[in-house]
Amino acid sequence: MTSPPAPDIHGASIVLLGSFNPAIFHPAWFHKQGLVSDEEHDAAAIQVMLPDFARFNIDWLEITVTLDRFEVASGEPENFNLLRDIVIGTFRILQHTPIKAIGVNRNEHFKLPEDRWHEIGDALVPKDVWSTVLDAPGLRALTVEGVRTDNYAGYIRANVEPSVRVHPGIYIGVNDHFQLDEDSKDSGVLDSSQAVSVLESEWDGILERAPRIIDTVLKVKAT
Amino acid sequence: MTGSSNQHYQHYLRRFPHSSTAVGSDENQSLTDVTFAVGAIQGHSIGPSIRPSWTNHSQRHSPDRSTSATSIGESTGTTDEFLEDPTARVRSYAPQSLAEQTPVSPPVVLASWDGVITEVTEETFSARVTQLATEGPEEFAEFPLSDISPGDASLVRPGGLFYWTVGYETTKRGRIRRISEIRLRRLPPKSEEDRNRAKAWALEALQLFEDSGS
Repeated sequence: MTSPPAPDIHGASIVLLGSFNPAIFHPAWFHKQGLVSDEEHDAAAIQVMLPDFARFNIDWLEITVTLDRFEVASGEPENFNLLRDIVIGTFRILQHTPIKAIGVNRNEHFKLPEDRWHEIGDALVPKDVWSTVLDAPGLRALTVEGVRTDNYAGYIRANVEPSVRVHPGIYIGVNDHFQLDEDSKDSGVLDSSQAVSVLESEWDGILERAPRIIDTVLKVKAT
Repeated sequence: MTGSSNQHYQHYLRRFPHSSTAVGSDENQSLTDVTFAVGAIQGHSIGPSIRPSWTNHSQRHSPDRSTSATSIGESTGTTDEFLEDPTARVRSYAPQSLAEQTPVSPPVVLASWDGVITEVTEETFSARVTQLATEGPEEFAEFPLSDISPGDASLVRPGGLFYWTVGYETTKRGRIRRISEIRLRRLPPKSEEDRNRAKAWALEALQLFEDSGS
């Protein structure tokens, strides 16, 4: 059995939906709270800093915040675990922030031999049906959703598209989505503790799930 | 605040429906706005019957492609937005910009461990480590202090937490280079509220344990 190819481009992000105050989020704040090192702080680069929108890089990490969305992202796979810590650390401090959903995303691009590229597309979306109604049908985007099997509301979505970064290549994205406001309906309390708890208790499962989905797609065979 | 910042902001807001935590479809265009814009104008699809069209890469920048790409989602950007904001390339970061700047391919992670420091000596530190995403046993390891980045040095103390990642990267000339990185974790202490919640959970678990034993 051959192992799947290594991704040519990696990406990971954690996205929180809720109510945020973008003006708080500044590299100096993360440094003051001890969430980033002196070196990381010194390397920070602010892109946009407005009352309702903030985006900046801290070394290996990009942070984007709007009034309803907080996102941390990295393209360095060796640092993906640290994304988790940035979110946990931030929202242990800002513990009364209402967070209604959290998603952990993996995004990978694989360069493939052209024949294999076609084979994956045909296996995931057989063209028999489409050939009767479309000329030259091809897969542009495929989203498949599965239910969560843990104790959380939400879903797991896999997206497959032709890569725009490597050619011929395939993009595979996995969105591990936890809907937290469903879980807090009984208690009526929505703060950051549920999101932090997801990252503390479910991280191993999240880390294991995305590569398994990605491997499955990469190994798919046309019938 | 600049005009380009405003465009950037509006562009960002359009990208994401408020109910989604995905950076999915748009994220094929990946972590940068540059690639997002480029993504919006690419017209590749998977399927043997359109194979001839892929060979003409110049088509990727045609207006027709831009129009057709909007069928993926209303939040898709356009070439014009990219062209209006040439500084976008400066703002982009990883992975494309890193790949362009460094002489190696992106690293491949083989395994990661979660570690707790148990002892620190003059030249080394010892730790209990558990491999992430596996059911592996707890192991013990010793690391040279020289493996620690200066910015993390103050965090090396008994009880300190860290991630240890091993993998490899490939140089442009095809040589495999092993990488091993230790990053100290920077977590603020749990709040009083968290501690009370944990205590309540522990008491509840203890009660269940006692009830099942009686």
